[in-house]
Amino acid sequence: MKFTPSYWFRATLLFVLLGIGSFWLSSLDYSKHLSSDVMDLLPVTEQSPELSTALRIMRDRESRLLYITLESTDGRVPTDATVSAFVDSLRASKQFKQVTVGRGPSNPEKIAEWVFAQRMNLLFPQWLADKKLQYASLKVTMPDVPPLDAWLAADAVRSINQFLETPESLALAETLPKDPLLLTTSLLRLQDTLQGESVADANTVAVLWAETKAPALSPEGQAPVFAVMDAARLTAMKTDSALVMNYIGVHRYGAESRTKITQEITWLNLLSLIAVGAVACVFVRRLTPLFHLVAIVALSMLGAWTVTTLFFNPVHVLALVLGSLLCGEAIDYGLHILLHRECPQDASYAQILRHIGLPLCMGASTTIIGFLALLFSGLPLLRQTGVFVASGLICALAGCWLYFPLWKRKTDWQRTWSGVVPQPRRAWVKWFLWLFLAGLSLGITNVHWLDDIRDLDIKHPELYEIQEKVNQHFGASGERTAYFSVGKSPLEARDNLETFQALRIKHGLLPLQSLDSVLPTARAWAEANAFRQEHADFPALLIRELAANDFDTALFANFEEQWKATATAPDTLNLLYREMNTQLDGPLGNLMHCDASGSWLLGMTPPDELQTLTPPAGSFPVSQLQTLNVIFTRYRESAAEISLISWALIALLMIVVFRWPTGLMMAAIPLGAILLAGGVLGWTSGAINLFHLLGFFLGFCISMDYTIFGILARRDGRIMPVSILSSAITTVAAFGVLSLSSVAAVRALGISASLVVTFAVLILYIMLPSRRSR
Amino acid sequence: MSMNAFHKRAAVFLVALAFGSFVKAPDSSLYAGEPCRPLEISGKEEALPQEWKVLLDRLHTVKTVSATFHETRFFSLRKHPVAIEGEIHFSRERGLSLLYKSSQRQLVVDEEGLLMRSSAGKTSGGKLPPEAGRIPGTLLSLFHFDWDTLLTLFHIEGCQEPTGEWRLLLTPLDPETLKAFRAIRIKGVGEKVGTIVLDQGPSQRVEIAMSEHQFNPEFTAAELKQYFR
Repeated sequence: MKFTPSYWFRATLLFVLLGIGSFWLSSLDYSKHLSSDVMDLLPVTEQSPELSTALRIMRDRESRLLYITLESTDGRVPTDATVSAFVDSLRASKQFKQVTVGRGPSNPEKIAEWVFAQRMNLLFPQWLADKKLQYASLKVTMPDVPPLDAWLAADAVRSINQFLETPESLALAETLPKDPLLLTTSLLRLQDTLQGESVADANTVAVLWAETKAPALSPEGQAPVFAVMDAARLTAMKTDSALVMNYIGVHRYGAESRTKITQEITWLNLLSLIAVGAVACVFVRRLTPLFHLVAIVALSMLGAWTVTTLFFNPVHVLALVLGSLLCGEAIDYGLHILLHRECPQDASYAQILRHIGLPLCMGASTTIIGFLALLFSGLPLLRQTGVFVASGLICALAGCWLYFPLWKRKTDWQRTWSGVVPQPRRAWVKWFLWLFLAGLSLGITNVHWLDDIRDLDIKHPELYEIQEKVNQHFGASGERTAYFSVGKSPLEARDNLETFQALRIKHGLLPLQSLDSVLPTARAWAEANAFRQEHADFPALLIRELAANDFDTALFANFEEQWKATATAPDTLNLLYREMNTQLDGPLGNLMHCDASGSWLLGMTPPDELQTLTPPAGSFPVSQLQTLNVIFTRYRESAAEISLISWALIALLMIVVFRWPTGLMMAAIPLGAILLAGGVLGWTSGAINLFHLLGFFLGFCISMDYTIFGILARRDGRIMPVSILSSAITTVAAFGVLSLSSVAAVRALGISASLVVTFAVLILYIMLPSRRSR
Repeated sequence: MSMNAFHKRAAVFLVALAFGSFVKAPDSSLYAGEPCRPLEISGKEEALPQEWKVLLDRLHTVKTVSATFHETRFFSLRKHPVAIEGEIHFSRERGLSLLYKSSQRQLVVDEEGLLMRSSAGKTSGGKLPPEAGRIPGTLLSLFHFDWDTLLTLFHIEGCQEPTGEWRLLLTPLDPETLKAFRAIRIKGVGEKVGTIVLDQGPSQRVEIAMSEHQFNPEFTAAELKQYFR
C-alpha cells in the first residue's frame, strides 16, 4: 500500500465527513427531532378542510381529554370518598388543567346562566324561524289566521299552558316570567333529538373526564400523565381495594404507537442487517471483506441520518423504517467492487473503480434520481424517505470512492458461485420461462386500487377493548355518522351546517343533531333583530294575551325591556360563538371549535340511519376512513405522475448515455418487472395502493442498477455477473424484511419492491447467455 | 375518538340545566296543613312507637301498586291551578312511573335515575347529576317508605286516627332538599296513600290525589316494558 497524497486526501476527507456527521447526530435531541405522531405523516400546509381540521383536532384541546371510569370488582359504585380521593390526587399532580366528575362540562351553572342571559340572541332567532314556518303552513289552511305578531302572542301563551302540564315545569316554572317564549326550554330540544337512544348508565360506575396540560401526543402528555393516573388509582384504592380504573384518550394511542414503532424500527433494521450480512456471507468469505461491507453500510446510514435530520424536523420514525431498506441497497456498491472479476488479479481498488465507474454511477444515479423525485410528493413521509435513501446512496457511493482505495485489494475471499446457479441453456426452457412470465403478467388485469388510511395504522387491540368499555359508560350506542361543518369563521361553519341540514331535509332525512338549535345563523339572527325592531308592540300583545289566560301579568313586566335590548353590532354573533366555545369544555366541547385558524361544528346523524348522503362543500364526515382515503387517492395519483415522469427521464438518460436500443432496453426491463410484480399481486390479492406504487417505483430505480450491469454483460457476451446476483439478493432480503412489518403500508412497499427486483433479475437471467452458449 | 357519545353527554348536561340550575329555593312560610295531634317520629324504624311500626310494616307489604292520580299544580304566575290527570305505577323492584295523560309524557324514576318518555316512545334521561335536585329521588324514597333514607333528609311528624287514617309532615333538614321542597305532606289510610302535597314555597305547590288503587297487581311483561325502564 502506497501512502500517496491521494491516499491522505481520501483518508482526511473521510474522517472529516465522519466527524461532522457524528458531531451533528450527537448534538440532536431525539425526543424532539423524531416523531411518531401519525399527523406528522401529513402535510402541515394541507389545504383540504378534511385534513386541516383533523390536524387541528389532534393538536387542540379536544385531543387532551382523558375519559375515565371507576368501578369496583364487586359491582358496587365507588363511594364519593373514593372518587374524591382519586380526583384530589389528579388535581394535586398539576398534570391536569381540569378534572371533572361526570360527563358534563366543568361549569354547567355558569353556562346555564350565560345561555339564559343571551337567550334573545342565541335562542330567539331559531324560535322565530320555527314559528314563522308554522305560521306559513297555518295560513295555507286557515286564511283568516290573525296577523303574525298576534298569532305569536297567542301561541306563546298556549305553549306556556301546555308547558305547565309537563313534568319539567315543576323545575322551570319560576323562570317563565323571565322567559315567556320558553326559549330556554328549546335547550331540551337537543335532548329530544336523542330519540330511541338510552343513555342509562349501569349504576355501578363513576365516570370522569380530565384535560391534560401537555398535548396528548407529546412525551410530557404521556408517561408522566400515566404515572399520575396510576398513583391516583393507588390512592383511591386505600378506601376501596376493589377499585378498577379504565381510561382512554389520544394520549394512550400516541404512547402505544410510539412504543410499537420504536420496537418496529429496531427489529426491522436489525433483521435487515442480519439478512443482508447473511447474504453477503454467501458470496464473500473471511471477515475482512465483511468488515468493508459493514463500513460502507455504516457510512451510508450515517450520511442518511445526518442529511435527513438536517433537512427535516421532526423526522417521522416511519420514514426511518422505510429507510431501513437502504442497507440492502448500499451494500450493493461494495459487492460490485469486491466481487468484480473482469480486472486483473493485481488491479487495485482505484483501478476497479475506474473500470466500473460509469455503470456504477449510472446505476446509482437512477436510484438516486428516483428517490429524489419523491421530494415532489405532497406527503412528508415520502419526502423524508426519498431524502433519507437518496442521501444514503450518495454517501455509500462516495464512501466507496473514499474508503476502498485506502485498502490493499485481495481476491482470495471471493466465492465461485456463478457456476453453481444453473442458467437456462436450451431454447425451449427459455421459451417456457417467457411464457410463464407472460401468463403472470396477465394478472395485472385483476389489479384494482384500494386506498385505505388504515394501512398506516398500527393496531392496538387492547386499547380498542378499553375504548369500547369506557365509551359504553360515556353513552356511546348505535351506529352514527358524525360530520364536521367547517369555515374560516364560526358563522361560516354555521352556514355550512345549515346548508347541509337543508339538503338532508330535502332528501327526507332528519336533521343532524348538533348545537345548531342554540347557535343561530347570521341570517336568522339579523331577521330576528329586525323583527324585534319592527314589532315593538309585541310585549304589549303578549301581556294582553297572558291576562286573558288568567296569568299574573305583573310578573311578566320585564319582558318589554328584554325585547327592546337588540344587539346589532355585526360581530356580536361571532363573539357569542367564541364565548360559547370557551365555555364548553370536556366531552361537550367536542361539539364545536373556534380559533384563529378556523372553526367547525359537529353534527351527528340519528342512530342507525340507512341512507348515506354526500355532504355539500364545507361539510364532511368525521370518519377518516372516508375522507382521508380520498386524499390518499390524490397522493397516489400524484405519486403515479412522479413515477411516470421519473421513468421517462431515466429512459432518456439511458438512451443518451448507452445509445439506442441498449438504453431503451435498460429502461424497459425494470418496467417489465413492474408489470410482472403487478401480475403476481393481481393473481393474489388484487388490491394495490399508494405504497405498492411506491414499492414499484423503488424497485424500478434499484433494478436499473442491475439492468445496466446485466445489459453491459450481455453486450460483451458475458454470463450473469455474480455481483448483480449478490446485490439483488441483498436488496430482496432488505425489502423482504419490510414485508414482515406490522404496518400494512410498510408490508405493501416491501413486497412490491422485492417482487420488482426479483423479476428484473429473472428477466436478465433469461436474456443473458449461458456458459454453454458463450 | 368516538363521536357517538357527544349528544348523550349533551343530554346529561341539559337534564342538569333543566332540573338543577334554574331551581331556586322558595321563600314563603310553610304550607299550613292539618296534622292531627302531631307527634315527632324522627327516629330509626326500630325505635318508632308500635302503631307506626305496624303501619310501616303494612306499607312495606305493598310490592306493586297501580292507581290513577289527579294532580293540581298551583303556580304563582297563574291565578288558577293547573289540573292534570294520570296513572301511577309503582314497583319496589322497578321504580316509580307517572303517566301524564294530557301531555302524554311519562316519567320513570328508578335506581338508575330519571327517564322521560314522550308519546312517540322517545326516551331521554339518565343517571342524574348531583345538581339535578332531590325531587325524583325523594319521590322514590317516599313510595318505598324507606324510612331511614327519609330520616336523613327530613324532620318527620305524624299522627294516626283511630279510623286508620294517618298523616305525615316532612320538613327538609338540609338546604339542598329545601331547594326542592319546603315541606311534604302525605295522607293515607292503612296501606293506601291518598294524597301527597309537595310544597315548594308560596309560588308553587303540587297536590297529588290518588284513587282507584290496585295493590300488588302482577305486571305483565308488556306492562313492565310500558311502565318502567
